[in-house]
Amino acid sequence: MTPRPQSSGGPTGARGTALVRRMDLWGFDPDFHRHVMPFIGWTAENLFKTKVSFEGNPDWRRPRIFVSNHGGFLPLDALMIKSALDPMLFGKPLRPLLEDYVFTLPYIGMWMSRLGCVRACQENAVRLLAQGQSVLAFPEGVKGAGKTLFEGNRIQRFGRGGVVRLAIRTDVEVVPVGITGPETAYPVLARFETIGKLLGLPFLPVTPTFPLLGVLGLLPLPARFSMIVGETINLREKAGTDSPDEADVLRLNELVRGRVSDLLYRVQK
Amino acid sequence: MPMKPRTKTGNAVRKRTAGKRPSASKIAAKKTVKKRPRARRSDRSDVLSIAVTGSQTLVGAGILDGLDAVGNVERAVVFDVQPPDTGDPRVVYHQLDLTQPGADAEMAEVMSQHKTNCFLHSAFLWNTVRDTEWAHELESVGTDRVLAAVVRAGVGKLVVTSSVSVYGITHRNATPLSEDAALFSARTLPPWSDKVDAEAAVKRFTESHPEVCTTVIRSALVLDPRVDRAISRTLRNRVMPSLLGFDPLFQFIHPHDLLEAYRRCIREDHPGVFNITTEDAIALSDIMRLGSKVRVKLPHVLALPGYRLLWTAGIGDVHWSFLNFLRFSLVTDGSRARRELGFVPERSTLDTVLEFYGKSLEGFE
Repeated sequence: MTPRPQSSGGPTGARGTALVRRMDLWGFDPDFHRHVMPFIGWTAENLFKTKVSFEGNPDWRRPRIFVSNHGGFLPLDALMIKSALDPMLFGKPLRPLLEDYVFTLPYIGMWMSRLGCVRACQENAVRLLAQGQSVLAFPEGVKGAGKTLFEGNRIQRFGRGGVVRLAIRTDVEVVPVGITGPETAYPVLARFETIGKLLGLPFLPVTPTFPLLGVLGLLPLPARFSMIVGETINLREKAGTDSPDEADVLRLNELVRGRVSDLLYRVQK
Repeated sequence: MPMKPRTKTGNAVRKRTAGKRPSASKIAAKKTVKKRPRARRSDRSDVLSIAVTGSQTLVGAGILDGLDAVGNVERAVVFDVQPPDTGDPRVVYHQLDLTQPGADAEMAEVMSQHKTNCFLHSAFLWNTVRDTEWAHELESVGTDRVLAAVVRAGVGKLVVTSSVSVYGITHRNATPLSEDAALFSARTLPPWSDKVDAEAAVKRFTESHPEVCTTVIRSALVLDPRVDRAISRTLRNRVMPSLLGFDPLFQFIHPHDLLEAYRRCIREDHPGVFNITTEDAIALSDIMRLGSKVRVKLPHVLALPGYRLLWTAGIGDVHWSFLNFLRFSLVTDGSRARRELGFVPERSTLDTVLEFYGKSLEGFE
């Protein structure tokens, strides 16, 4: 095999060669991202007919924490939001923060890492923001992913205010996002927690195609995605301090949840 | 699960405390009477007298082989069951088994004679063994004995060997892991649980003995053809297993860099825990490509229980839990070592892998 020359230097300091990919410490592969994101953008536009609208001025030169509602067992919404926002982030791809279980799934976890997704935790988010990269958080977590079709688009609890603490600690503004579509792409009819736990998952979803069609059932159903990206919120300014107490955190958490809920209501109309 | 053996030391403690509880004033009086020897600290201008356990390990042997590189070493006392492979006249061998009760008193006595001011504790196992009772005695209880000896002999500095594997291999790990991260090893890598116990003992010791400069070095995986570890053996094989749909990242440290970090901690005072690792990481698939390996992809749902079954049946020399290295990344942050030790490894992970396979980048660039 004749090795091909390739550009050197990478996010981790590793020298690139024809045999070694340039990856950062989370497994983000810029080459994979460059090749795959256009395809995801194409599916967003042509298959899912994604509509995106913005409120205010989307000037995101500095890193931001995008906060969205969540739905679907597989994080298709993360990819749709990423494909919509990546071109507006000045060459720094959006880094979605995903639930732990996604990274235990073969292929899916690996591909998500290569596209820039990381495990949702404070340490990862702080480090990415410090590197000047915007992150996308789904504070509903597993509760959001496990919403059944019968529960509709009702927003679940926004964790314990992790996003608020992160925003205040790092002094980064929050941008709320409301999205519809994932709940119809992966319509969860029922979830089995005991069987899921045996498989190392929070639950096993039952959709019209999964597990009936096996792995093919993981393909999303035709759905239309719509999203509104709201105006930025400066949580540190609203808190009036860089070390808020529990009451402030919960109050601001409800404020962010309210904004996302409002956007979701408008996007559904 | 078999019960861990109770040590004679443990029984003795129970006997002493079983009777009438002494009053607080008596305890205070006892404390004033029984004074500990003052901890002998070494500084850069001082002459070093070091004690070493685990002289057959990479770290122990490496330090003993290059005493001149460590600093002004006057004496190196080796506590081990086998004599070290070095002809250095400064090395004094004292046969001792850390698993035996009374080893602490014996070590303390010898160290007092040699005025030891630094203790390098590297008697840890880096390959899995089936005799878990013995491993527990050596690593966990053995560390307790080392700590007791250090206090009794008034040694001023303690350097303890550890590995980043104590963080465990789980998808719940942050990336990269800092030294403050929780240690998940006991659950995800059962053979490493004794090392986690040892680290917990060292942590308690650090809190109760601030006068002793205690350093714990958690090194990334060491990759060197001369080092007999499971990872080196696996990467040398022509055919390598991997798990279908997983491509974890690896960080490797070169023994040359690792030993330099140890020398620095022995020579200078750097209390705390340090990850000794590189700034880069390489995917398993890239390592295989560099080594021109034949890759055998196995589904993890079959490979993990299958290998567990083989291990239980007494087949194989690597614990089943180590398959998780092929599933999840273990990436750590070495910025504290860079900041506080001034340690920057000369070789990246890529350099180490290339050297392991006897290749050079020149041909590829």
